[in-house]
Amino acid sequence: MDHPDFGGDPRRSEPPDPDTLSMKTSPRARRVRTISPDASAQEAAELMGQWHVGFLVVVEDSIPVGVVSDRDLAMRTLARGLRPSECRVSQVMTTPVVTLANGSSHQDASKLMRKHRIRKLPVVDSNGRIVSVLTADDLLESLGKQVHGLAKAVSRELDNEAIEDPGGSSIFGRE
Amino acid sequence: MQDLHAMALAQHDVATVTEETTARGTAEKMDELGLGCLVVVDDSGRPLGLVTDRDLTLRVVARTRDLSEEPISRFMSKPLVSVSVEADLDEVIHAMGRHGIRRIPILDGDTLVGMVALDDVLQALAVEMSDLGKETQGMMRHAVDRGILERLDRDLDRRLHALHGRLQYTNWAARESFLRKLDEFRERVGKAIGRSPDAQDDSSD
Repeated sequence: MDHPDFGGDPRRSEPPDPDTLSMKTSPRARRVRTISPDASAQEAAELMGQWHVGFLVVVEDSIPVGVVSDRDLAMRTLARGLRPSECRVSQVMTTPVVTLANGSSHQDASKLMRKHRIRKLPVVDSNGRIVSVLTADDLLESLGKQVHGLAKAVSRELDNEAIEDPGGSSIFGRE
Repeated sequence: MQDLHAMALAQHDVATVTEETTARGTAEKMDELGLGCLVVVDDSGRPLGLVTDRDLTLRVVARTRDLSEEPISRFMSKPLVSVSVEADLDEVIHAMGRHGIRRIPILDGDTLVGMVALDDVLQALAVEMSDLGKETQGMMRHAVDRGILERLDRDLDRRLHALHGRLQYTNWAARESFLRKLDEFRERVGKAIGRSPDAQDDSSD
């Protein structure tokens, strides 16, 4: 699997740059799926099915103007008695859109997601143009891998330490 | 975790719709209740299938024909994947993985008695993860023997590996909580292996 460890050799004695502990936004970010605000809700739903996604970024000239999820489409058309083919995406999308600057750290992304209680972030370049989408899954996956790497590093590190016996009790009381 | 009973993490009050309910009525109910998933039942309350907000979007909203007044039985996922009231958590997680689903109804015979969501499972795992972090840091502060170290390593590896496999089916509530716990854990372990100058500082607790 292609993923950075957590800053190279885990046995290094120097504290690594905090940034190397986190993923930069771009490598993990997913290919973005976009739609025009003038498309219909029915078209948006159809595309979600075709593309196997549950989230579209609504763009005008590559600039995100909103986002729409699979749930939004059902709740904002069907549940309100509206015909999906007669609703425009602009009527059912969520605005304003929260974006992440390209190259931000994964901590920034995670903070932004928590703050706004969202799980997907459109990533934009310095001109505000859409670049990719970063999801909570992406963050979680990279964190999981980092933790996994850390667990290994812990043991390696400890193997090198002077060892005294505290009594050999179980580490995990529940076991 | 292995010994935990599915019912212990289950939600007991499961929202249902009858099979004749229209797609539109189902959407209204999901919206009202703030839920993304309902169990479809027949007139006698026997569970028949499951319907999610995404099902509605892909199977109703996506169609050019207006299907909003069609009965939900047409759009539900069936047969219903369920576990028995006796199931333990591993069985639940296994079933979720095998079928690629995040929620599983619990049946006692033909009666719906609860629903387990993987986010609830994950909340429990997240707590365990945090405990693990604390224990790890505790370990680092004291000199320990090699046997314990090896066991710690095995344990971390095994648990993290297991968590990894389960994570892909989680939803946001759990993920958010899990992200926080992982952050905490990473910080603790980072300190413990001396990445930070105040590695032995107790203030992190």
